[in-house]
Amino acid sequence: MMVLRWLPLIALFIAGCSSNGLVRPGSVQVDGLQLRPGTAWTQRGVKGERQWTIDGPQLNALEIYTGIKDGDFIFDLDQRNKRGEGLRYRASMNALELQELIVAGLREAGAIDPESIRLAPREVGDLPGFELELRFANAQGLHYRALGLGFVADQRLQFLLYYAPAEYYFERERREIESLFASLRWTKG
Amino acid sequence: MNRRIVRVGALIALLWLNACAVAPPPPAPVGYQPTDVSSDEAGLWAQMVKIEESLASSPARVNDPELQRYLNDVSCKVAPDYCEDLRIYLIREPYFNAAMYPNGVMLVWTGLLLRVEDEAQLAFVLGHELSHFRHRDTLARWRQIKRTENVVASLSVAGGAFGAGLVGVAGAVSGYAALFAYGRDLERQADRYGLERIHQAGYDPSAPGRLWQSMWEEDRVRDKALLSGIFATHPATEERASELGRQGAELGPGSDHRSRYQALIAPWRGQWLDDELGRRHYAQSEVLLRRLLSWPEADVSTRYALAELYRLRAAEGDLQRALSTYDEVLALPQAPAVAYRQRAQVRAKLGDPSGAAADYRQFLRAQPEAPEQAMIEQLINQLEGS
Ligand SMILES: [Zn+2]
Repeated sequence: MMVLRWLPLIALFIAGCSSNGLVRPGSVQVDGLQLRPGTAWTQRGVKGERQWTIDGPQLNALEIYTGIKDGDFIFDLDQRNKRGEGLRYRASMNALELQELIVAGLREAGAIDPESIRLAPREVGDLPGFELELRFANAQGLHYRALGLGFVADQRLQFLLYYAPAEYYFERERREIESLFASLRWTKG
Repeated sequence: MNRRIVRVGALIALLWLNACAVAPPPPAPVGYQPTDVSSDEAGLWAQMVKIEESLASSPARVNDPELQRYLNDVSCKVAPDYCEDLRIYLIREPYFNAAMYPNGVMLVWTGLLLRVEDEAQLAFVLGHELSHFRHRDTLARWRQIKRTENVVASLSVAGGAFGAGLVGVAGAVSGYAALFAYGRDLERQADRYGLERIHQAGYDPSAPGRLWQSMWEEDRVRDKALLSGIFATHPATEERASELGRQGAELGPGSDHRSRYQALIAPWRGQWLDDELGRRHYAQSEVLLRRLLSWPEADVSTRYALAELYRLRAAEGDLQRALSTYDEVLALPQAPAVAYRQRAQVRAKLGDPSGAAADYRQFLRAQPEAPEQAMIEQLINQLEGS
């Protein structure tokens, strides 16, 4: 989400350390995660905050957040402000609180009326985690659906969020996302 | 979030360098529109027309015809002459903010209505913004801004982002914040103008001083590293509050029309408080909630919001405070079922697994189809296994 919001700035300030390129089907390593995409994606972003897309981020985006430490802002690369308030991850949070944090983070990032419509336990390899399903609208009133998968490894939150317009695109990629999520493993990067 | 503040801050700092270098345009007459289509003012209006189109259809707009009619009515009372020129858009954003565009569009954010106490305070805010419109302050700012090429680039990035992607109204409007950084003299002028207007309309002239006193109390404690809404361009200082208070006292009494304002806001308070807490600006929200709880209109949603603030902040002693506040909420007949779920989380953290499990069960009895039902079942199992 923040990748989108900060796109012009990210392009300006951190172009030097970002890696853009093609993700081919097959086994892929991303910042300590192992994934098995079944189709080709385009990747951009930096370590800890990647965005994959097939048709462009307005139409389908998979955001991969890794290594979120206690006290870090959720959805935000800018971690210079170490103390203080704001939407921060806490190691003491359970899945209900993480769901709450993600919904509030989406709202702060500009999603309108974000709402969680399902939250359930889900293991990633042998690590306990959660999956959730969300809906929200963008500023133009286009309805989006989203699928998330998160778990804590190495005392850090690792979190994937796929979102796409509810009409057509969300369902079209749903099977790909389900199998990507099923393939997800923590490899300790 | 921080990057945006840094950017807007830098923009404002840059603009101060050449502030006052441009003579202000003459006041806008009633029904004013730029006639010379090649003028810079017409260009600015054209941009604003685009923004207004996206605002008009934005899902961020609050859909409440009665409240909308009321806002229009109050603006017409404050400014009968400009009644036809102003168009108010109420936007769901938790920040205290209002902005006047040069073409007569006025944005009012829900975070402002949440904080305003009565109709007289609302009328003052509208009157203050009207001054920026009447005196064409935004055009003067635009001319200053245009003198610096980088700033134009920054503004057009913000303008472009408005129409695309998931960037919200807050982000887009913040991108334009430099346009509304009018400076101290124009702010004083707008305050004076707003005060005169509400006095003429029969409103209590002590209302603006009280509003700015409250905003100053919030501004004092807020985390300055986070997005601030109006405070970036309209500093809430003690000086401003006391100046408004002094000027208001000289004008004598008036009516505040508190009850009709409060009655229109009441159905929205729960949602707007939820949005407020969603920012996690704890210190500021706590000052706000203490104030709302001191009002006679304080309802269960306000008390619940205070419990939520303690639970979310979870600083020293907060979980105990959250627990006792949820207890108070759940003793009330209109208590929301979700308070059981939230109290369960607090009880679990305070080492009361059986109390927590009982609360989760109570919540699921009230909402068996809750979206997080499967997760709560797992939490209950863990609590009962421990
Ligand atoms: Zn002003």
